[in-house]
Amino acid sequence: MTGRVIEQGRLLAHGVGSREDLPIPLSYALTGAAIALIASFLALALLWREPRLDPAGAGRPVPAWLARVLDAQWFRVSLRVLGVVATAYVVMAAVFGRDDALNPTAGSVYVLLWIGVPILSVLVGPVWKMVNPIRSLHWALSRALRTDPAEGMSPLPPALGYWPAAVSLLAFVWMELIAPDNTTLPVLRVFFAAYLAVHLLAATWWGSGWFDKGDGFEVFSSLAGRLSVLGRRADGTIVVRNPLDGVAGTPVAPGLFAVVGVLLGSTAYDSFANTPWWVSQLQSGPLSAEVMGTLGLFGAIAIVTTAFAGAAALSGRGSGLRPLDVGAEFAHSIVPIVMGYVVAHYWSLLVLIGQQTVIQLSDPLGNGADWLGTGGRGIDSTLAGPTLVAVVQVVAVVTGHVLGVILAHDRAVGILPPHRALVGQVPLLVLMVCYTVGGLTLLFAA
Amino acid sequence: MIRRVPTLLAGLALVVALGGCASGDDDSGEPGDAGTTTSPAATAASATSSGPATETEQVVEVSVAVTDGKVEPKPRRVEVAKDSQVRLIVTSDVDDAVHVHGYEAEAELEAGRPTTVEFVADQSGIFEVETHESELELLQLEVR
Repeated sequence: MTGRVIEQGRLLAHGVGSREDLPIPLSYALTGAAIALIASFLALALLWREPRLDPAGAGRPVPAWLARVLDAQWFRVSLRVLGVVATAYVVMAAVFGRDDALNPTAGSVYVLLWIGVPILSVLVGPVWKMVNPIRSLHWALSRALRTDPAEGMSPLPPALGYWPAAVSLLAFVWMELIAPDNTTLPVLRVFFAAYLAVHLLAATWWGSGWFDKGDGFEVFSSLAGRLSVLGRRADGTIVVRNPLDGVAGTPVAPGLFAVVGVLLGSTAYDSFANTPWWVSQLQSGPLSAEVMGTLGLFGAIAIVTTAFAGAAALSGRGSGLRPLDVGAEFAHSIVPIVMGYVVAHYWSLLVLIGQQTVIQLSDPLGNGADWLGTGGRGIDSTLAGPTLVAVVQVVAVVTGHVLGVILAHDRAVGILPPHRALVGQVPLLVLMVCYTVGGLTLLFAA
Repeated sequence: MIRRVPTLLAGLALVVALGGCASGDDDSGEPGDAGTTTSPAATAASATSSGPATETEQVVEVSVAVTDGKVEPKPRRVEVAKDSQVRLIVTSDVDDAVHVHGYEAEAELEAGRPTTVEFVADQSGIFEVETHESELELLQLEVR
């Protein structure tokens, strides 16, 4: 993200992320693209005719002691408390800290929350749902008012689906990528105050079920969490399972493809926006940088989303479903591609600035304190060396693609009539190849 | 088939890693490929006083000027070998300050006077060079 600047003596706020990754070597990009193409053809050729994924029943139960802990009241309450305390800590830094390069708020928001939580979710499951401070606040308010948090004034309309989350995420990525001075405290405070107000009101109106599909951060974390090997079967047992079964069980609802489109499009735009050519357009073009940037961001999201909608509509012919419903049926298969893009583009940011933020969090008020004991450390860059980063990037993008192709195939044989199962998949596979080659091109040339 | 997916993925990861290693690693530099990532603006660099980067032994000189809110030559990516000395010469027509991200090298700019910022490029990556007051990105340093 472009860091804009505030002068305070000699300390200047540079924003988050003072460096970008080197382009990947051409050989990596070509190898990755080749693997993606081969995997796509294999998926078509080794056509299995019945859906093999079993989201409801797959998986081996975890050891009893682990299941007891994860489901225990004390564990869940501890996570909620942790979430509230951590949020309060960062809010303290945002409200009472100094607005300079050493304030940990920007890093906490743009790296730890935005990148760290989803990647952690891929490993262990839907983390944010367990710690979401807005949920906790809503729960506390409901208790104080002697109402049931799950019940609002009105039942949650199913047609809302994931759309509120898509809008929330769109607002966030606009702030992340376009808004001027977006690493300064005033901008961050206003955004999150507004975010809290909107979602708290919505939850009060429709009940805590709102958060499941309405809170952007929770939806991002939950979607990523479906890729985890840890999951919950339909019967409630916590199991270790194939991530594919997890993603295949993503609840289908309107607007899922919009969420996926916002995440994918914004990551792609972030990558593209760093090219000197685009910087030149922003700086010396006829429109202001904010307007150009907004057009670029919305354009990227629109292209990614429309392409998906079109491919899904083509793929879904013969399924008996309306085009928008087909989109909802297939949107989950893009989730691994989204996470592949996120890991590829933000890995080194997480590794380097994540460390820097943890160091900065030790001194939230900017008075030289060292509350967490991490204050004196330097940043260890072993996990961000150029070769490792390039390998991580290509492996992430290609793995996302392979998983996506398998998921799309499995869903297609589930909802398409047998004579359309082969032909029906082609538009989606072509789309995924385009996404992946696009992602690799951005890694190579941007 | 699905049970073999993890093995398939591990195999793919291995192929990519091997493919990458076989084509040379970061220390020896990537022959040829690096050149194609330079933006078109660099090859169209103007023939005015601010020319492209010149190398003298281990010192890389990069010149750029800011005139009337416009950056000359247009923002571009300048390749620099890791651990070489970088000499950045910036001329601005207004008072300002220039800052090199990542290296946190900076200097005040006086209107009309070329200012030099020197540092050793010992971190690899792509780093923005920008001005503070006018908030312009001048160029990007690609350190390999």
